[in-house]
Amino acid sequence: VVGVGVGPGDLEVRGGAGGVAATYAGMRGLADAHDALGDRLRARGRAVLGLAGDGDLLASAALAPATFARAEAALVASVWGGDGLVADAVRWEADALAVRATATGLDVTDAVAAAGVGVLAHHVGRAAAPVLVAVAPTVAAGLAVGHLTGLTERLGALPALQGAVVGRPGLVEPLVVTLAGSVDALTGRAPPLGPGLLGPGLLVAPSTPDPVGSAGVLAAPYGPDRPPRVARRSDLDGPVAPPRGVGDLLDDLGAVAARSDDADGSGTVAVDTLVGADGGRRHVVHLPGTDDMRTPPWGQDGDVRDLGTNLRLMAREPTAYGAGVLEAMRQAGVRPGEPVLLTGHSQGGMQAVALAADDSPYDVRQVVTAGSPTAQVPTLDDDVSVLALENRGDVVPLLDGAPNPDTPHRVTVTFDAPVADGDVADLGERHRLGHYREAGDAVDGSADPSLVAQREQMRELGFLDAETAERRAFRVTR
Amino acid sequence: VVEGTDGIRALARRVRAHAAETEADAADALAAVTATPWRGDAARAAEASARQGAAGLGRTSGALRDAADALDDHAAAVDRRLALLRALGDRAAAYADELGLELPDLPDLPDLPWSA
Repeated sequence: VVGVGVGPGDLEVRGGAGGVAATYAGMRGLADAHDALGDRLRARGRAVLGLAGDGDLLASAALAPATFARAEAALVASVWGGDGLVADAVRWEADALAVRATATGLDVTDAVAAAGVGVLAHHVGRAAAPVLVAVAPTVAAGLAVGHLTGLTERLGALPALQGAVVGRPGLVEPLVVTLAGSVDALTGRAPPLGPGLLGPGLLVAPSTPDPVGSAGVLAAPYGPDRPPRVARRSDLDGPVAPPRGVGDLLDDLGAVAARSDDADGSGTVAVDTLVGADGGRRHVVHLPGTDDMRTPPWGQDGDVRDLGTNLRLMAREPTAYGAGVLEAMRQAGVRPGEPVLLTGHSQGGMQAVALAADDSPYDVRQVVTAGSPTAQVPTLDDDVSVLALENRGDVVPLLDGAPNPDTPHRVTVTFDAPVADGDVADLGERHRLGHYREAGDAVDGSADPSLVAQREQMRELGFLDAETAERRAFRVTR
Repeated sequence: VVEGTDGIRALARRVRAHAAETEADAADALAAVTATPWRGDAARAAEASARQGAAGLGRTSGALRDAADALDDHAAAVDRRLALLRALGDRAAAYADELGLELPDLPDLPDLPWSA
């Protein structure tokens, strides 16, 4: 279903070249430049004083003592005077200190504010745990699993709750941290808190919210994942149109995801090999999202894109899906050193970011995610960029319990996709890949500096101006 | 012994080069401040301070140019004094010629005890 459109003006952009971290980095760069200027001015002052002591000049003093004295005085004044080089150096070095201190202050303030909200929510969850145990432990665990994984289908029968969550997406991340606190208390990872400790105790004994660790607790019943099996899907092989923008990349991802619905099609991924005018090769790998959300720990089957994989990815554990994608890349002929771009929807985006962060033989340089939690991967190498698209009301990208890192290389685009006539804005509708396809087009048309920089980098790496593209598709199972 | 003022004029040129560098530094520093993606009161204060600093660099550049000019003035004064001394020497030689005198070569003098 095509919505009524998302335009460049509907995008809210965090991170990247125009993000807060880039601003702080820019401020620190400015302070460094001020410091360097101070160093240059001091060196220049030393050089000018050296000229004042030149032998020829001193020897000439006897011939014209009055003009010699004026020249010497002028040289010394240009170095030591109120408008001299030394005073200038001190001034710029003082400015450097002030700018650097301001950047540090803003940085620390941001961190404290973010940590404060997280700690509060986690403590609320720990305090609520005994109540949950007494009243309804099963409901609590079910909610925790649902919220930490992908409650699209699990909550499908609760339209009122869906409406509440979709209408208040800002509550989801604190709610996830709160539930993580409850999981921690219920499983002994952290002691429950009494109501009294919700007051001053917060200030004296804060604990660190850890949704990733809590997800690990929930993933434990699924055990370690099994090795993948990777089979060719030659029916999908062949030339495809080279992508020209983010919209095209997500269009291709959607096409691959659609073929995952074929009979025996779950786990389908595709490796598109692009060849540029220079003959250079680069690759776009498409990773669709969850195929089976209802898999219990005792019922794991061949579907690698299941609930257990969601929990393992949230807990930063290895998955058969990830290993299968790497094997598919090997079979597709991807060579180490050739640039790779990964696209992923939902679980596929989680897996893509994990592959970009973990050691592999391949040179992943760019990730584009659509409706995926990614904050569970806090750090990436500086040569890896992530463009994360998040539709407001789609709770799936919020299940990491934290905002995406705001760094020069990680850009998060939030938008509010209109609901098409006849549709209901429930969790499934908000999570639909079609909305992200439209947002991709809006990204392509945006003049936001962070998005311009992301597109420019993708173009420089040859992902958006290839002459040919050849698709090789695979099916990953376990 | 001062035989000319080329050295002093070279010093003036070097000081003028430092003045030009300082002027360029002022422009670069101001451009760096305005190019930093930073908004708010602190940013405005930093930019105002940078503008004052750049103006200060402009004045320093002017002071360096003044010093270069003073060196050139001094070189000109030294040139005039050297020309006068050369003219005096020429007149002394001409006067000796008129008198039919031949100025004897001065003997080499021994090193003075405090010149070692």
